[in-house]
Amino acid sequence: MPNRLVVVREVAAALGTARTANEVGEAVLDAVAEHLGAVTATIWLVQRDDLVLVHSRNADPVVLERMPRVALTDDVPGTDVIRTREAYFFSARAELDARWPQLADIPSPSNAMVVLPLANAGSVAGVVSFGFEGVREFDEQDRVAFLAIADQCAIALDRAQLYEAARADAAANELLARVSEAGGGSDWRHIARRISEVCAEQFVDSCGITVREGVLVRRVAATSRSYPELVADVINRFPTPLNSPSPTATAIRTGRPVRVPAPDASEHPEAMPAGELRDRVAHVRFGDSWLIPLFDGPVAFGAMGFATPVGEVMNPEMVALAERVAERASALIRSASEFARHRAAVDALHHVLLPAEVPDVPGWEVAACYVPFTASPTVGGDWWDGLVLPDGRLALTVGDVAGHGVPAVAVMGQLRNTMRSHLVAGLDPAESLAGLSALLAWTDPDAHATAVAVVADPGTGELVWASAGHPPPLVTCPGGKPRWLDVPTAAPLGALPRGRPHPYRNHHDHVAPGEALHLYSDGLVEGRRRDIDTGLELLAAAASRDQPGTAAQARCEGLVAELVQEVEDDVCLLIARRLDC
Amino acid sequence: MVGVGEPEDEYLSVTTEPDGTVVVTGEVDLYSAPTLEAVIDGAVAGGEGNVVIDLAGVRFMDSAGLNIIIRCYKPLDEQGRLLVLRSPQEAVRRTLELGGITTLVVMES
Repeated sequence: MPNRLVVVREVAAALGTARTANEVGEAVLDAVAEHLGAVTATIWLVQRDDLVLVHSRNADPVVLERMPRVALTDDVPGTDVIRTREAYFFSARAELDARWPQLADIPSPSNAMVVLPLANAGSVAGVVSFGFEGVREFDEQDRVAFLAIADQCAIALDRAQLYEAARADAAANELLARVSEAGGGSDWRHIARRISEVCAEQFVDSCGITVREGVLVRRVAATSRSYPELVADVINRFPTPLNSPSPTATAIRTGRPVRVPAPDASEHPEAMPAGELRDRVAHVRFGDSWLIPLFDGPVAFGAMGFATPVGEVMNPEMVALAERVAERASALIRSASEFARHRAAVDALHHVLLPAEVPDVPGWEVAACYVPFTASPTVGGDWWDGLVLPDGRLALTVGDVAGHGVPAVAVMGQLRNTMRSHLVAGLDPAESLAGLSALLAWTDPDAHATAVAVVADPGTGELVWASAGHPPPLVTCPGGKPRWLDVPTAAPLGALPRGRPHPYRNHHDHVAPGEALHLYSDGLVEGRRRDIDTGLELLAAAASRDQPGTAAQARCEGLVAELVQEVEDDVCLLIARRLDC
Repeated sequence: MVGVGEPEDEYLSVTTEPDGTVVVTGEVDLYSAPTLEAVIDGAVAGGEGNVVIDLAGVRFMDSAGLNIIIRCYKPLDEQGRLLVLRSPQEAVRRTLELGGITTLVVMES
């Protein structure tokens, strides 16, 4: 062996210029290979609970494949050195195999081997190992020299890690700066899109932003390097219920980050209708993905998804950076004026104009939901209502005022309350609709609306109902054929000039135990590329899949999510199910 | 002849024949509806007789289209004029029927 002091000095000199962990590895392996005759070498570093292979030379592919990362609790030479802080010197492979027979099948070009702790400032940061051709005895001076080389290596790695941390800080700061540049202006959707683009460009493989819309969550922006062609097909489509187990919905609902480890896709495709697109989404694979909530105060209004390509995990530093990006994205989206207006309007509608709760009637289960059309900066005029009348009967209405914005919402509030007052005063559904129509004709001749009103006897299931140009109510029964309450239609409310006799008629029907009555607004059955009958058929088919055990509220939200793939209108759905006796 | 060529309205064409008939072709939805409304408003304000809208070329119409028809129907009715909807395709006719429009206007095949 050459003068060991010279070798140690050479290693130290080579390490002096190494700035990254890779460069440290190369430098030390070069020096040890040249002067001490090593043929294989590996460097392993402790990362949380694992020992991770960060650099290797000539290691057999089996090692790389089988042991890129081992748990510190595993019994292998590296973890043993970490635990004992003592170096191993094996003069022949047989010694190593005798101590770890489970590793005997791993091929290696080396025979003698040393495994050295990388100790620095009292802790062990990892191990470095060298393998040598043939049998080799290590005397005391050899051992001192190797330990000195390991110390040099540890110091250089420590420095490299500081350097890399500084570089990562610089990269993080640049990412955050670029995310911030995406802010400004009133168009929050544009801001969300820009943020997702920046993140997919210089942070992760794929990035998406999802916002809450009432009882649904909808992806409003996404950018993907691995799946660029899929993005346009899923943006703004396929909302999922806020109460679904999807990772995004869970992150928004709980306000906590959700991790989806490989090999799952970051989003479950079940929300989509069966077909080619759903199959494509089902094949999406990421290495690791995280859904981070977007907050407005204590409430999550959305979530931001970050995903790495297959084979790459998001380390704790990346997750921490994702949280900082999401925090900044929250602020940027919130500050876009249209977003604030949009949410204020939706909140007002939810909290002030629509009922706070569904009526509680023995033998019936009532559920309702309203989904605003968020692409429009204003909310629409759909409403639902349900109340128990003085005679104990159950009154249910759904209506839809033409137009959007504050005027439509104002008319909606007026009609909903007038309908209540008529029904509570004892008017039947047709008379109540006539009253509403006359009210509009007298006080608001530019407004019109459609509505359906139902009064049900909770004990017998007898229905009296009337409709003003509203899509037909649907009755479903688990296992049975769905049926429409389809009768000749009458003019919408406010369509006829004042003084004209009203066209509304009462109809009679019956809801049997186990059957469910569905009232809805046309947004549920209309769609850009389908005619109304197709929409009605889709509703009947989806509603017929009702499982008897499913709570009506979950059913209601699930149906809306399934049917409103591309909402271009507000949607209201009310379900009243008569329970089995 | 009144042509309509806003970029976002390419999927809708509305023209007025020499006899005043409004001929609509394409899709009537939330985005194209204002274009249709402007032309029909012109026919309502400018003429004296009935207003005839030819819907034969309309592939798709949703509630936004129904709202326009109701808004045009009301002033016509007050003036004793009729609104005539001509030759709608079956899907459009069904939309008009479910929306209660067929009880207000004259349907002409």
